[in-house]
Order: sequence, then structure tokens, then C-alpha cells
Amino acid sequence: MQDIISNFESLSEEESSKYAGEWIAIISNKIVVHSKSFKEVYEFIRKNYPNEKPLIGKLPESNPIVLSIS
Amino acid sequence: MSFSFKYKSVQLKSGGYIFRPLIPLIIGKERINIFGMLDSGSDITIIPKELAEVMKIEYGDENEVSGISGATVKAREGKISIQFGKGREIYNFEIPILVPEKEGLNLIIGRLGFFTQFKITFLEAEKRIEFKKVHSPMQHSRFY
Repeated sequence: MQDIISNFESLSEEESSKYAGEWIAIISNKIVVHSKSFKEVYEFIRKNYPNEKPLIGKLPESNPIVLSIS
Repeated sequence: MSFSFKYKSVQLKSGGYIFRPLIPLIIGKERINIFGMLDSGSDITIIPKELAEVMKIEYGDENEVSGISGATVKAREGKISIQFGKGREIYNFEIPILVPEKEGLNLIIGRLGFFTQFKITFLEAEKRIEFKKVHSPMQHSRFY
């Protein structure tokens, strides 16, 4: 659980802004891949970091949002 | 005992800044490390379809979910295990979820099953969310 917290807390304002709307994966406090496609991120990790447990997530868009699925 | 996470800030296209209550957690049998948006306005947790496809989710009935605009999307009910916490406070529990058919959604941590585990305070002025574990006698395994 410590790794996930460390990776999460390493995510900076600059990175959150730069990759807004994209899926990212963080390993050892560094973003190693980003894409609008979750599958691309997932496959990249499986191929290049098969033994790592990255923190994955989709950064919300850089517009004010009200949560909606439609 | 309590723990907290700072809001994550993002620069808007308009130039200003906005702060969002994102939280890290470990989900599913695959123990996927992920972060999502904590949303007290969502009845239930929403798992994006593309994420759900790489997880072994115990599915139940089909349902529908409505967004703020009122439009509905088909969704499958399910439940997943969660590990969440910080420092010495690590908690494991299950929550009900919905997996909408639509792709491109964010992971939203809604109330059902999650907000019943903690007293959650959105400290807007301090830009952080505080969690205090509460006794949770009821485990919700279904949406309703």
C-alpha cells in the first residue's frame, strides 16, 4: 500500500494538467506511459514492466466538470 | 484515528486552477493500483468498461444508470473488493459497482458501500479529504 500512496502523492499539478483526460501509469514516482486509451496503457505496462505494480488512473479533463455519463 | 489525502490540482484551459478529490486504492482480485474521483453525488461506484474488461468481476443483473443530464445508459451490476487507507490504517471491504456500456468514463467512487465505511469530510478550504473509519454493520452486496 505504501507504493501506491507514494506514486499517488508524486503526481504533480503540472502532470495532472499536461495529461488531463488521459490514462496514466506511475512507477517509482514517474509517469511511464500516458494515452487516451486504457488498453494502450495496460498493454504497455504488461509488455515493458511485467513485474511492476504501477498506479493507473484516468486524469479528469481540464475543464470544470459536473459528473455525467451521457 | 483518521487519515487524509490532498486534493489534486489541475490548470484549466481557461488559465485558472481547480482542485479535485482524487484518491488511490487497490481494487479487485487482480489487486490493481488505481486512483479515482471521490463523488458524494454518485449513488454508486462506476467502473469504466475498459478497466472492467481486464478484471474478474462477479456480475449480477443488468441495470441502468443516469447521468446528471438525465440520459440513461445500460450498465451491469457487480461487486469488487477494495483495499483503501494510509499509513497504519488499511481497510479491506467489498463494494457494489456498476459497469456502464459506454467507454471513456472516469473511475468514480460513489456512496454505496464506500461512504458507509468512513466519516468523510471534504475540507475545501484546506484542499484535502479526511477519512475516519466508522463501524459499518451493513454490507451492501447489491445496488438496492
